[in-house]
Amino acid sequence: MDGKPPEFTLELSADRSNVKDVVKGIMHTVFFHRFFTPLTPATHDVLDTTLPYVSEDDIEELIETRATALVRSLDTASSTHTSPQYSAKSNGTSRGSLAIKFLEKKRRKGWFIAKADEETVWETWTIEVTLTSARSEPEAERNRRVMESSLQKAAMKVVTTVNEEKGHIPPITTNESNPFPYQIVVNPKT
Amino acid sequence: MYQQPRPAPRSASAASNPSTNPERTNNQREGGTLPHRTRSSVDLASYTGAGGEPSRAAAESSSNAPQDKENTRLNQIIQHFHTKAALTICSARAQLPRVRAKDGNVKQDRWFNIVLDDTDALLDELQEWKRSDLSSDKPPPLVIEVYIDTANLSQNQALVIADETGKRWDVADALAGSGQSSPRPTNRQGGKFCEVVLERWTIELGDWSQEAAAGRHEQLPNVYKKGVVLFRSLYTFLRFLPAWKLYRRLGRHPVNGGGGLRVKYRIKQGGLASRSPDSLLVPLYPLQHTARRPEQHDYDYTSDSDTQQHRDTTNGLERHRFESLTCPSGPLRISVVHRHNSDFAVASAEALLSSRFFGRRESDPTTTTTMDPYNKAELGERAASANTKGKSPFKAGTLASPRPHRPSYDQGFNSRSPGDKTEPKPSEKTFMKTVDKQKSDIREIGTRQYKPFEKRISLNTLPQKALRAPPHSLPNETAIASSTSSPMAPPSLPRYQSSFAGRVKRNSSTSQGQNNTSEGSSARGSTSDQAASGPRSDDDDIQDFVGLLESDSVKFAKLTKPAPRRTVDLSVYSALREESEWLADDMSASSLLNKAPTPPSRRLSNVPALSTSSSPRPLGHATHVRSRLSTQSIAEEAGRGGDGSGDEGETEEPLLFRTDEV
Repeated sequence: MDGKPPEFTLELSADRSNVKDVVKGIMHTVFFHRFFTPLTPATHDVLDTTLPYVSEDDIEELIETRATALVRSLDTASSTHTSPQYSAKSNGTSRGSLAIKFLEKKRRKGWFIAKADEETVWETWTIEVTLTSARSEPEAERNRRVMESSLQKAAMKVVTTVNEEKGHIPPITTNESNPFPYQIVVNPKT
Repeated sequence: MYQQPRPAPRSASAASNPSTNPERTNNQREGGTLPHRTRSSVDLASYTGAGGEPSRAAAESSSNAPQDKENTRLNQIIQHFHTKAALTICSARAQLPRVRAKDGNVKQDRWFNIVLDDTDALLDELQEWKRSDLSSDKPPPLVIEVYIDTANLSQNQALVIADETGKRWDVADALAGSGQSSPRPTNRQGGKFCEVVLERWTIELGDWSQEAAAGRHEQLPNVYKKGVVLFRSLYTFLRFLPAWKLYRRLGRHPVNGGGGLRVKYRIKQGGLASRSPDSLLVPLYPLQHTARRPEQHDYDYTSDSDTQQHRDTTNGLERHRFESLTCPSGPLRISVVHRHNSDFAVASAEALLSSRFFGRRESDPTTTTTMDPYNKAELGERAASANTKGKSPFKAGTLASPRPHRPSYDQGFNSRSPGDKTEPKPSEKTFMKTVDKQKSDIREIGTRQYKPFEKRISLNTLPQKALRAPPHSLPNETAIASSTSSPMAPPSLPRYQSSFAGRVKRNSSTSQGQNNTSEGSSARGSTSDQAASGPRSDDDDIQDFVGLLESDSVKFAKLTKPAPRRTVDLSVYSALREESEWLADDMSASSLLNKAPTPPSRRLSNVPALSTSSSPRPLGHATHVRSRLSTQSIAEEAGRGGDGSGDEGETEEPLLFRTDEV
């Protein structure tokens, strides 16, 4: 309501073969709790965890595109070891992030006829992804455990956060298909 | 498992639920002719009043005062809060029969903007919460119990649960021991009957409390809006709990496959004193570890406030409470108490008895360890059993968990933690397995002391690696042999075949399972053999020399044991390099063919939709290389090959990246 809109951070760790699924799974989980239009729920299993899935074309496509872009940037970061903002480490891990923003359209009272809708962000979810790599089987297994645990933690965090923080959701005044526009930004520069 | 969602049929008609007072519910489910409007009363607009469509309910009520309209809506919210919650919970724990409306479409409940198939299976039980005066006459709490039913078990079957160490416990015994009934109840087949409550959900309109008072004057549209979020999170949370996995596991198999176990639910009114003791509170096995402090679990929940999550480790129960939804009549709440371990299975009574006798953990193929994601106690306790900290469950020592396939990682050599009391058996087994392997290896030709490492890797990696390892191990061995001159090196063997073969056989039979020991004894054996065989000219000298070599190599073997591992790895990956070059040529050739139906693209089309088909993999590591042909040298990629292939462990076929990336 006042000041900066809340920002919630989710941390994920994943190995190369699962990172895209893990990131997509969490993004769908977030959208599942923020897509206010009546929705027939779907699910998708990621790493032995059942996560909700939003089967709306626009959202599906956007999530797919952004996840691909993020994974590509993680690949680039891990192989070139250049970009400092990605904080690529010498042991082969690289990091990236995604920001999901939910906006509201505030109708500005038009002076005459023109009504410019102002879009303001009322909530941001930041997903920070660490790409792991392993040099040995035990390390790979360890990474896998961390990955599964981070996924479950992040998913649970979405559930508890959306329950606790309800006061800041803007009123739903329109009858349109989706009251809250959304954006997903890969590796936002803050 | 990817469920195809069914699009909401827009023409689904209003509920024609006979038991529902037509005045109250579902009357606003109209307007199906307007494609954009959701056709149900759950439309937010109807609550904001912006929709402009007067509800029939309001029109039909005795007075048209807005007060009544508001009251009606409030009643609807309270009623549907209860019934929708019941539907959401029960549909996640059982197959509910669908209902068709008059026009033939499946009836759906769209309340709170989550569309679920409606059912009439709950009608009778939910009567109490469908009254029209709920806002003024508070209903009792709606309690739903989810339990395991063993009515279909046969006489020689028993319901067991596996604890954190994998030990199985008889559930009926545990429940009976709590004094539920003196003669053990039996089911129709004469088997042990017991019912284990897994979860108890409570849906209620609570009393006013300080926290709820703030929302006393909440506008109904806002209440509804928050309800949307609540129900989405309820849907999600239902699938995080252990009972979900159990339900899916049992549901996949028909009665026979699941051993006759079924997950069922019952609905009852809360607040009544129950006659029998609460089976949910009965621990099914003694928890060896004392209740841990809450902060040890905090890493799981970022907001582990006491109001939301509470773990009661003495009984192995967890509680979770959703944020209450405050309406003008009070706070609407959903909460659950559940067991954190749902690792149930059916065992034959004899197997159970025998395992008790031998006191050993059995890896019963029908037992699937359900890893409850939200039961960090399980992981934590496994960690605690390995080392007393109970913190990070990701120490390698805990990987030898009760899962049957885990011990193959063979951590006995490098990562077992010292204070490990509950893991000795798996580690002993794997140790003996490795020792036996070593014994058999010694009998063969070649640098067998390095093979256990190779074999360990090949157990857990792609078949391709396993296939690749043997052919390349030979050049390795030659290389190693020349550097360390082990007694059984191929170069030296042909010259001394007869004597060494005999020596080896003798020594392996007496070996105590250590390579260096056997080599030492073989060295000793060779010198003693020499002494016994009498004077021989060149052979004698040569054997002396070899004897010296052997004793040296004994020392060498000890020292270089770690080294060969690296050597082996490198050569494997240098082999990968060759493969990758070959595959690179192949790939560029296929790319020129422009997505012709070559094996790579065909393989891609078989990939399930959401798997990471776009990611290159090793052997697949090879394709990883290819994608960087322009930017990186292959050698550099191969040098880092350990990373990529390391995490390939147990996963799928190597996938080439999408053709559109080629």
